[in-house]
Parts: sequence; structure tokens; C-alpha cells
Amino acid sequence: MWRTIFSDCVGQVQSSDETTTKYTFEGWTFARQLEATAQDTPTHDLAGMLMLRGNHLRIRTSTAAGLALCGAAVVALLSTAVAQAAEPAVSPVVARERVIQPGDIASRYCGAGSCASTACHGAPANTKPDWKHAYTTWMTGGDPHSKAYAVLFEERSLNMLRQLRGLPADAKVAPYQESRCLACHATVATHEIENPTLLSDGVGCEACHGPARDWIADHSLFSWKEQGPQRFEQSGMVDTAPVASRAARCVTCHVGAPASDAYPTRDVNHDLIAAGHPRLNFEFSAYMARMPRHWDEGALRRRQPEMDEVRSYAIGQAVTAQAALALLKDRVTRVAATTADTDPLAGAIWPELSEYDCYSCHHGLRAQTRPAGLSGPGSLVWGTWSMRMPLALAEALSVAPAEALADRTLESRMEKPYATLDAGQLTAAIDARQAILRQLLVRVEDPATSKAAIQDATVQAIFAKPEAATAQWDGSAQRYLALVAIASNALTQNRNQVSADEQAWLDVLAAWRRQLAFGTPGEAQPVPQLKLDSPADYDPASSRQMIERLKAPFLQP
Amino acid sequence: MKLSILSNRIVRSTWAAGLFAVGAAWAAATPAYGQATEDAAAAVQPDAAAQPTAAQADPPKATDAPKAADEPKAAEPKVEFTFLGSSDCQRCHYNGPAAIDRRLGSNTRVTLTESRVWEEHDRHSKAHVVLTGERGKQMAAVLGYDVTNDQRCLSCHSNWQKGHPKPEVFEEGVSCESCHGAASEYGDEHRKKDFWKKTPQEKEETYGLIDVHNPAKRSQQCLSCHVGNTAEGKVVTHDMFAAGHPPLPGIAVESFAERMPPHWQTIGEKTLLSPEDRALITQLLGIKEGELQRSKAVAVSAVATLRESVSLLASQAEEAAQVDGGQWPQLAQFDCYACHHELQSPSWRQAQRTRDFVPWSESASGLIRVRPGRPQPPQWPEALILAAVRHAGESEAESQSLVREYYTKTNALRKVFDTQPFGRPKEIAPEAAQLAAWLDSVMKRLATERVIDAPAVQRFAIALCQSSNELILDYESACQVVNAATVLARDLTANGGSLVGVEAKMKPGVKRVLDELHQMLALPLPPVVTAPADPAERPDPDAKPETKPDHYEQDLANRLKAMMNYNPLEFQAKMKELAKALAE
Repeated sequence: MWRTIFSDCVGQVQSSDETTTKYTFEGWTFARQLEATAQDTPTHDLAGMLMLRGNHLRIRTSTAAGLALCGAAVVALLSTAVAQAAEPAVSPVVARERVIQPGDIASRYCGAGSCASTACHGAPANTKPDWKHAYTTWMTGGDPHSKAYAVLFEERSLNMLRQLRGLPADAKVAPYQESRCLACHATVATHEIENPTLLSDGVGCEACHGPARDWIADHSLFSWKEQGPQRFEQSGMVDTAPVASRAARCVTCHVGAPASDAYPTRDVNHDLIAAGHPRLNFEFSAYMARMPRHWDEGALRRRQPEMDEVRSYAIGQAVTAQAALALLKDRVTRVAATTADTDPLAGAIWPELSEYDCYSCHHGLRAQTRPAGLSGPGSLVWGTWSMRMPLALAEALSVAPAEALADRTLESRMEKPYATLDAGQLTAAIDARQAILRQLLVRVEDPATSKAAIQDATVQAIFAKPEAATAQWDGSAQRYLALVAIASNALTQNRNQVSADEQAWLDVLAAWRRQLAFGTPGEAQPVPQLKLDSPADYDPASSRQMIERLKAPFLQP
Repeated sequence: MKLSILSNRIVRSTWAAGLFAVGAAWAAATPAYGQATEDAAAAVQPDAAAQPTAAQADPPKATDAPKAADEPKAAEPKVEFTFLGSSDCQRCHYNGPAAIDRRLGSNTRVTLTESRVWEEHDRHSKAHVVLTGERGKQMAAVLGYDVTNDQRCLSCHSNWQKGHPKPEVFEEGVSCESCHGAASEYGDEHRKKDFWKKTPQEKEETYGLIDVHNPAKRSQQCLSCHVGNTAEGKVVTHDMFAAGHPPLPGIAVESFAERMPPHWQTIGEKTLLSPEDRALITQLLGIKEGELQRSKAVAVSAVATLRESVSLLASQAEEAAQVDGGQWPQLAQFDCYACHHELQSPSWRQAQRTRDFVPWSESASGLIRVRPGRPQPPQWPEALILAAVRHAGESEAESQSLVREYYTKTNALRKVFDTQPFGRPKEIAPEAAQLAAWLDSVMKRLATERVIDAPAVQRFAIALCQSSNELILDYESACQVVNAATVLARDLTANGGSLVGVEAKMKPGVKRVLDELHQMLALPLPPVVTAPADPAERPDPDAKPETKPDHYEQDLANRLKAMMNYNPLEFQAKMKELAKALAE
């Protein structure tokens, strides 16, 4: 059955040697084990036709489990036929990097339904402790992760794929079968699987907690916790209690990630965004706060007395920036391998415009120009979302020598995308920055760094260089989110004692949020029925005023 | 000092840098003629003796001149023409015939108020003054150079072209000589009695008086600034835009000319001409029977506009490709609004990508579209091209084959932008140069071989409305279509004659829809200001010129607001109404 996983790969045979046939498909390189069966080989064309029919069946049945099994069986049968028709007979396989092995990927996942027993994680939503209703909350409590697969059936998703593949508006397309889409919109990145709920679950339990086959039985036993931390490594379960480890799960989709054993490249690049995908602007603590809680927050806090909102914020910033740089490095290496024939969903392009501040280009032209950016008039501005705050934190905490912290080689290399891409020099600059970010993460995770020190550093980062900070929407939005982390820290500590002054400060913060929201009606608002996805009315001067007003309480000794 | 337009044209249509170098060498080898002398003022009196001299100097008529434009002749030293400033021109071309009639007798060919119209109404006369305003100061601060005295600015805001010394008089903005040519050679000569009887070719080659009656030449003069020209150093860069230069509106040559307003008369407006003079002018200018001059200019300039736009792209890409690691993209070569728009969902820009088009392969409409997220050169220069190319064919079959050729060439260029955002300059330059050369040949056919008479104009106007329904046009392209349709409708109504009172004579349906379209796009209707033909009605020569405040900042704000509120579906609905009204 494993062979069915990539039965769609009627694609190019990359190379063929005695033992392995390697294929490139959607950025995956994988090998196939083949059996020598010369007889009952159908013609290739017929197989292709049946193949389409099989896929069609799968679309219809993907939500109905019983029928889906039939569909899978049909596909399995057909794909065997195709494999036999298209490939020469060879003997068993040599394992390679990112080679998909029998039973390797999909079979390690069990599906969210396996967690849903009432006695396990499917209890009613008000049951204590909270982890007892993890499944219920995820499924019915408004967690968008459970709807991630369903959005691939929406018109917007269909149109995206049409645009990327260059198909007319009425072409039949199936984003719900594209591993590049499934990589973040489902639990596994392939639609050729026996258990279709791994798709229809969307981003299910195992997408974050790890494939459960090897721990689903054990983790319900009392002996589970007694095994200590090594139980995670041994079983493949992800320890989501440490904030950095949790954030590292989020960023694989919400920022992006290079290809791994289980997933192809996860990269929302400018092509995808131009085709209709929303921009990714991830901020860990804000996203965590909005996610319906399916875990026992109280217990987590008791176990981690040194953790608070601001430390969690700082860790999230460091992890996000690291992921953004890892993706950039991956993009740089993939550019060389991309040709005109590369599938639009798989390739990498240069300049990669999604690396830059969206709104420094995407704004309607005004009679009066905006203040010039940091790099002179008309330049692209890089790293406004994910790089500025962590760098400011690193400076405030002096995690590295001053000259390393002041080094802006990376920025200057990125802000001249028109020059020919020099992958070597850019990679070196990325590595240097990663070293700083690693230091930052070590420092903010270390319980020896006090909560107060992290809060001071955050405050310093927020209020430094207010003019540059508020020049773009990205800078203001990041600072707003940092202030929210500080505010929620204060509110968590003394929930019932908000003074009049504090309330006034919170009101200013709320007013700033309203200013930063998109589609604020005003002079720049176009046709009213259209929803804006950009800050048309963003005004650096009023954001700067907000920053000054919000700064006041922190000036007092 | 300007290179002759002939050698300039060779450079533009073939993009052979070598030829340009040859031209430059001629220029360098020739001693510069002196500046305007005091004697020039004394020469206002037409010299009776000069007339036979001029007649003797008449070379044989250059009937094979178009051929000469195609194949550069062996080097023959060219006269360098220098700029004198407009004060000499104003002596005669300001106060109408009254002043000069005393000496010359009545002049029925020109109004002699040209310079006054320019000074009082024409924004070109403010081109240098704007550099000294608030916006100019802000730009100077951001860019770090003096915008009132820098060749990069004065190439368009005055007469200082690349590779030439700064003219002595440069504060007059875009003045007479900017379009008519540097006057050192024709300044005195053209006052002589029979100078006007010389061929346009001789006037241009020997005297430097550019043949602006020819719609192709006239367009080229306008486009060199309003689109840009690398050889002449007329290039607005993205840095300039980012520092505050207003976005260049897509030029619609004939419509912009009507807004200047015109300081000239079409042959149909020259009602005082004697039959003999009319016959001679018609022959000299190659005007065909029944041809509507304004409409012809719309068709010819449509092709010229795309040609110049693509040529600029080619030369800019060429420059970037020559320098190792040269700067590309030159963002100003791309459609401003590909990036500069608010993000919206749902968005007509995305519908534009899927509707009607099959990217990377030829669709029913013949155009290919490249992937999302790949900025393209501006769309507006293409808005009229299909209608114009179709009219360049003699028969329906030939028109169709021309349209197919156009798709082949333009699709080849589009594909270059598909490989990576902004494309690679080495791949862009040859494709763009090829398209430009092809457009040049089409433009010549359209200008010299086709007759653009009233029925042809009617067909042209309806074709325009239809093509704008097949595609989703952006704001600037919509403006192109409306501008062109307005000129055609007015010219049809006036039958090539004076536009005075034309609004009242237009079909009410056409006029209403055109008014609504102009309002939707915040395009002011071109005013009808033409110099009265009757000398008795001409302005009082001693009256002081009337200066009105210029509202260009307000106009810019209005235009940008209309652009943001633009909805292509509303535009299409209106164009359907217009097609119906025109066909009635």
C-alpha cells in the first residue's frame, strides 16, 4: 500500500540506476521499490485515464470514510498499474535522504479520531483539567486548525491554483490534492493515503504533537510520565510544554520551513500571495492568546514559575526570526535548482518579494509622499516583520559583542535584490545573524535571566528609535503586540486591581489597535464593499504620537 | 547641437548603439554654430533679395526620404543646431498678425499667436518653474541634487539633452524649440517669404525645423519626455518617483495636445487659405483626400506610444545588461500599479489574470498572461494597439495576420517576465527591441499607406469600445480608451474642421456617455480653445497676458483618488453604452 502514497508522480524520472528510481515531485525526491512483473501491464494511456477517474472518485469521497476506502483501493490498484507501466523492473531500494520508505510517513499517523474518546481528550468542553477536552475544543471550540483542510475547497483556494498553474477560470483544479498545500492544511502532506481523516482533520492533533502510532497506547498509562524527558525522543511525541519547543512547531507552517522527512517545502512565497494566499505575519504570543485553550494552562504555569507572558513573547520572537532566516536560506539554495519547467508550486524565485515589507510597495499612490524608509527613497525594506524586534531585544540584552549586534550586512544584501544574487555571501550573513538569534534564545530561555530583565529589554526595544519604528505599519504592529504582552503580564499578575491610570493606558493601547486595523474608513478607503487587506490609512505621525503616550508610565522610576 | 532627427530615428528603431556613436562622431567633428547674434534681431525685416537666394538654394525634392530613414547613408557632416530661447519667436508669434501684417501683409497659414497661447494656457511654459516649488524642494532634499539645474531634470523640464551643453536660456521650461527644434538655422530663414514652400524633409535636415505636422514625428517629440528616451537622457527613475515626482499619466498624444490647448490649426481649420496655397500645403504634407487629421494622429500615435515605451524598456535593459551586476530592475520601467495598489479581496487584478487568458499558452484572445506576482511593463501603452494594428492592414486577411504577428512578438516579450520577477535584462533587451522595430514598420504603413477617412474612424471608434469590453483594463488604459474615443467622436462631428461648438453638434447619446466616462475617471474634458481664424477676432496685441493659477496639485490628487476608486466593471458597462451610441 505504501506505493500508493505518491501515485500521482506520473512526473519526470530524474535518474535511474540498478536499484532505485528517483522522482522529483513537488520538491520531494523519493525512491520507489519496484517489482518485476512483466505480465498484465496495461497501456500507459489507459492507466492515465483511469488515474484521473480514480482521483476524481477520491475528491467525492474524501469526507465519507466508507466510500473513501473504496476510492483508496481503486487508486492503489491503478497506481500499481501505472508504476508497472512506467518503470523498468529493478530490485529493492537504497535509503537516501528524504526518501520515503514503506510505512514511514502516513502509517505513523492515527488521525484525530483516535484521541477523541470521551475518557481521553473528547470530554465536554468544561471538563477539568482542560486537556480532557482537547479534541472537543479543537473540533468545536473555534480553533481554525480543524478547518484548515476545508479551506482548500473554497473558491479562493481553487482560484489560487488556477492562477499558479495558469489555467482558465473554469478549469477543474484540486488544491486539496497538492502536497505543497496539504503540508500546512492537513496532518499529512499527501492525499494518497488509506486513512482520509488525516486530511479532513485539517491540522489535527498529530500535526503539532507528532505522529502517534508509537506513543498513542503508552501515553495514556500512568507509567508514561515516569519515563522522563527521553520518552519524547524515543516515541516521536513532541514536548509542547517548553515554550520554545511549542513555538518551533507553530513556525513550521506560520513562517515556513525547508523540506523535511515528513513534509515538502513549506513556503508561502510571493507567487502564492499574489495568487490569493494571505500574508503570513506570525507573532507567537498573540496567536497563542487567540487559540482556544485545550491544555491546562494553570498546571503549565505552576511547573514553569519563571515563565510569564513577556518571556514567552521574547522566546516566540527569537524562534520566529530563526525560522524566517532558515526559510530564507532554503529559498536561496532552491533558486539555483529552479528552472522555467519547475512546477510553480515548488520552485524558488529571486528576488523573493515576500521577504519584504508588503506595504512599502503595496500602497495606493498619494499626491503627498510618505516619509522615506530607512534605506533611501524607493528601496525595498527587508525584515520589517520578523527581524527588527528580536534584533532590538538582542541589543538590549547585549547577547553578543556590540559590533556583531550592529552588523547590518544582511540588511544591505537583502535590500539590493536587483543586484545578482550572491548566494555565498548572503548565506554567510544569514549564518552570522542566526548565531545572534541563538544567543538571544538561550538568554531569554535561561531562568537566570530574570523576568524583570526581559521586561526591561522589551520596553527598551519597543521605545527605541520611535521614528524608524513607526515608519512602516509592520514596525508599529509589532510594537503594539509587544505592548500587549507586557499588558497581559500585568493583568495576569493582578487581575482585579486595574487603577484608573492603568485603565487610561489600556484605552490608549486599544485606540492604537483601532488605528492599525485594516479597512479603517477614511479618505483612502476605496469602494466601500471591497475589503482592504492593507493599511491604506496608516499614518506614521499618529502612530508615533501613540508610542509617545504609551511610553509615559515606563519613564517613571 | 541636437542630432538630426534622422539619425536619432535610426538609433531608436534599430537600437544599434554603434550608429549612435557614428552620429555623435559627426556632431563632435562639426564646429558648433554660434549663438544668436544681435544681427538676428535686425533680420526681422524680410529681405527682398533673400527670396531668390532661398529659391536657388532649394535642393531637389527629397522624395526618397522615408527610404533614407531605413538605411543610414554614408556619413555626411551634419549641421549642429543650437537653442536660442523663445524671445525671438515671440517677436512674431505672440500678438497675432496685426503687428507683423504691417510688414508682411496678411498671413493666412499660421495664427501668429502661438507663443501667447503657450505662455498663457500651456503648462509646458511652467515646466521649469515647477522645479522651484515646494515639491521640487522636497525632491531636491531627498535626491541630494539641485533639481532646478541638473541635466537629469532639465532634459524634460527644459532643453538640456544628454551629451549636450546646457542651453544659455533654460528657465523657459518646455518652449518653442523643445518641439520645433533648435532654431539656430531656421530662426532667420523661416521668416523668408517662400521658406514655407520647402519640403518638410529639407526644413528638418537642413534647417533643423522639425516636421511636427507629421503625426509620427509629432508623437515622437511628445513621447520623448512623456514616456522617456534613454539617448536624450529623458528618464524618470523610481528614485525620482519615490522622492515625490508625480506618476507620469499615460500620455494620449492627440488628446493631450487638445488640452495644451493647440496653438496651431489643422488643415481643416485654416479657412482663410487661398485654394493654391491649400493645394500646395496638402501636397507638401502628404495629406490624403477625406482624411481626418486628428483621428489619423490618434491611430498613428497609438502605435508610436507603444513603440517608444518598448524602446525605452529595451534601452534601459540594454544599459543594465552591459554593466556587470548592473541595476535591474529599473522599477520605473514597470507598471506602477502592479505593485502600488491597496490590497483587496476580492480583487479585479486577480480576475484580470484568469479571465479570458490562458497564461503561458495562447488563448482565444491571443494574449498570454504571466504568473501572478510577476510585475509587467505598463499596460496602458497597449490599450489602443489592437485597433490601430488592425487598421494598418489593407484587407481583413492582412489585418488578421498583422494582429497575429503582434501577438507573437508581444507574447515573446511577456514570457521573458515569467521566469523571475522583473525578468533578466539580457533577455528583455532583444525581445523589446524586436517588438519596437516591428511596431515602427506598422506605424509607417499606417501613416503613409492607409487612408483614415470618416468611415474608417467610425470603425476604429467602435473597435476600441469592443476591445475594452473583451479585456479587464486598468485605470490608465481606460483613460487611453476614453481619450481616444473623445478625439474620434469630436473629429467625426466636426468632420476634421474647427472644434468650436462641436459639443453642441455631437450625438446626444455619445456626448452624455463621454461626459460620464470623463467624470468617472476624473479626466477633465479637453477645452475647445482655438485661435480665431479671422484676424479681426484675434486678441488685442497690447493687452497684458492673463495668468491663471495652476491647479496641478489638485488635479493630481483628484486623479489618484479616481484611480483608487476605479472599478473596471463599471467602466465596461459604460463602454458598452458608448459602442451602442456610436453605432446609431
